[in-house]
Amino acid sequence: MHEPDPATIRAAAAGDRRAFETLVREHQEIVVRFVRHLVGDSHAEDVAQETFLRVHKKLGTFGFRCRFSTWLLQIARNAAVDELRRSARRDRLALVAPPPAPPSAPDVRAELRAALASLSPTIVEALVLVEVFGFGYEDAGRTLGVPTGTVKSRVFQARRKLHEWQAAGETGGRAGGSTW
Amino acid sequence: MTCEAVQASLSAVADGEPPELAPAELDEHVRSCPACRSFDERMHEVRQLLRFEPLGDIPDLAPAVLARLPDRGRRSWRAGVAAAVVGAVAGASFVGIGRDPATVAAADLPERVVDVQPAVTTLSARLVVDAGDHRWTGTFAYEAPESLAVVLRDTEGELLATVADEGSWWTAGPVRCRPSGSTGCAPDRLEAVEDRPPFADDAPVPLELVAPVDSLARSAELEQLPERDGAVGVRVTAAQVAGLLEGIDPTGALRPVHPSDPVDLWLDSASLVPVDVVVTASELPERARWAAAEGLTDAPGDQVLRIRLDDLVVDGDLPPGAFPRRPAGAEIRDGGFDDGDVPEMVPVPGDLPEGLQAGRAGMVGDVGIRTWADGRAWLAIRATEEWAGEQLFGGLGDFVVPVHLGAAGQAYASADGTRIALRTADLDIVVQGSIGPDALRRVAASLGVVGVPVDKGWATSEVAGLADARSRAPDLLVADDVDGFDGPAVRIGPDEVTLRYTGPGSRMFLLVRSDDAQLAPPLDADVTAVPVRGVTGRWSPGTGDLEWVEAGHARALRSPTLTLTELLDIAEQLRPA
Repeated sequence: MHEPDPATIRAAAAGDRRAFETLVREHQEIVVRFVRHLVGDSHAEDVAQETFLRVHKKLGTFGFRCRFSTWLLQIARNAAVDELRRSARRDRLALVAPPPAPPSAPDVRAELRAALASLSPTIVEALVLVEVFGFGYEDAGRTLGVPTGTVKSRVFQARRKLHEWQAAGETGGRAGGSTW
Repeated sequence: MTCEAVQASLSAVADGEPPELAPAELDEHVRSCPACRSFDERMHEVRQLLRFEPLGDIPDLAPAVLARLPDRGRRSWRAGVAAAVVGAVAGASFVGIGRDPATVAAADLPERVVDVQPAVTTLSARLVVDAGDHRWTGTFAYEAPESLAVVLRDTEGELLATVADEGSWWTAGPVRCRPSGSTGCAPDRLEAVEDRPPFADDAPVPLELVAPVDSLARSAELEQLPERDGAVGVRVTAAQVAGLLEGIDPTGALRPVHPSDPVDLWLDSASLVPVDVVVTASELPERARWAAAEGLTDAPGDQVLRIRLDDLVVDGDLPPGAFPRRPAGAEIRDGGFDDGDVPEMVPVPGDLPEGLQAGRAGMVGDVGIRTWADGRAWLAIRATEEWAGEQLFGGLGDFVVPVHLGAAGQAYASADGTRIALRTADLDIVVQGSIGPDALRRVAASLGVVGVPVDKGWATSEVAGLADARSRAPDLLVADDVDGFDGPAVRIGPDEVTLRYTGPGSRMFLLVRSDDAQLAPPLDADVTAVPVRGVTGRWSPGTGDLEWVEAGHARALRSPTLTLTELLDIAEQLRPA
């Protein structure tokens, strides 16, 4: 993940809208990719927008003490967690049940999405930071506020569950070729 | 070599981290194990799918975000919550959800209250408070870890409330008029804080109402009350449940309560949430004297204050508007919490208790905060590089107990065991939480830092261990055998040695040994002579001081919350250090 030019950050913090727009465009993909695994596709854009609004508000306090991307993902994570709590208050039955295997050729991407949606957000966020953003266990731990060992075990847990999910789909008699 | 162990190592290797098993062993196993081969292939498939999502899926958010930015110079509105809830919560009237009340022995209660904290994520109840003849009714709501609402009104519509939700906190209520000598009553209080840091001391959230951890910690043998449906009861004193009472009545405006007043404390059997707290006037003459001075007309045995949570629902849905927005007209203080800023300098414990999840984290000025919670259980670590010194960072109070953490060096615990402070080469750190003193110590020892002793010349340097106190005062007496108190925390001053013993809630006493051979002139007009340890001592009821001379030195037992009877009882149990 590349670091933005400090001059851009400072300009945006000083009120330069074009500089802020640059930051949004350069990082929106990262934010959406991260939060969609936590809140689902339908809420990902809203949460991403909320993230950038908060970034705008707090930009003046970004002291270059850490990487911009770490700071940004922390804000995104908080926004996603707030959304999850709001949804949980509104509708406690929001858990996604695994969908039945489709009879036609499988859409592996859609199945992976469904599988991730059924996992607890705490293990999804660890997997996403490590897999999608290439964080080491230590950096991921610092961002998420947990020990390195916990990151390692959560990433492993995510992989195990995704493997189980796939194996269950296979034995459930999915038509079409396997993905091996 | 189990498949699970192999797969764990494959997972680590895939991330460039060192595996538990040797690569050659892994290869050999995978070659002949279809299950592990399938795991490895699935892992890499997931990686490809996650890393290479089609770009077309992601829209351009920039126009929408820019359109929603506030106009320059104006703060954007924060989403508000519906108006204050008044009166009873409609509907639900069941206690707990599908749980059999376990029989809880009173002796186990202090540990159980700590252990059962994770089991509760939400609470709601009707609240009824009887302060003498004055009745207040309203609602109680809680959402882990730190959102809580106590909202009460009396028959005239007067409001008494404390509400906290994320960074917002407000409190409102009447101010008590003192009966004599005052020129007038202060106006009702209404305070609000925005951007409140988590677990801030200066905008307190009364979590004792959801888990009476401090009220029962360090308890002596608890007197259990006869069984009641769905609740376990113990008899304690008002001093012990001070935190709980303050949760409802922070300034004592409703009803002043004497520390010695007996309290029947009833807890829901399954969740150990306090559901009924009954305070009655004690029979002690000093209580009668205090009541007269306060202008109260209580007779011994009268019910003074009663707090009831009716129709408690545990882990159910909270009604909308459960955490009402503050009333208009509050002066809003900025709590200074910035939750966008990663507090990188705050260390993360290597030994984090099972179940705790990371929560709010951020900065308040130069202080970084990280928090974790599991239901009602919480842990917070604050750290700063900019501490000016003179005393320990972290609000530990005047009395601390030095604690050695092995490889992690020197630390200091507060007298009640709920905070541990460390000073390292670069940072000042404080660890606090509701997980119990042993767990806090383990967390502090696993931060990957080494604590050093405080600088000479700091106020804290008067703090010492018992060994130092003994060498300073060979005739020192200690109260280590007294049930229901932890300690001592030791201070060695220029003329005296002070030992602080801490009980549950606000129960505590100081045991002082002075260099002087005689007692100082009394400060209290109501001084009486009492026999203490075979000599004639003196009792000052106004200041709570029991004083006598022993082995050629002046001694004292001082407490604002214990009675003369209790202090005399402690005096009989003192022994040489």
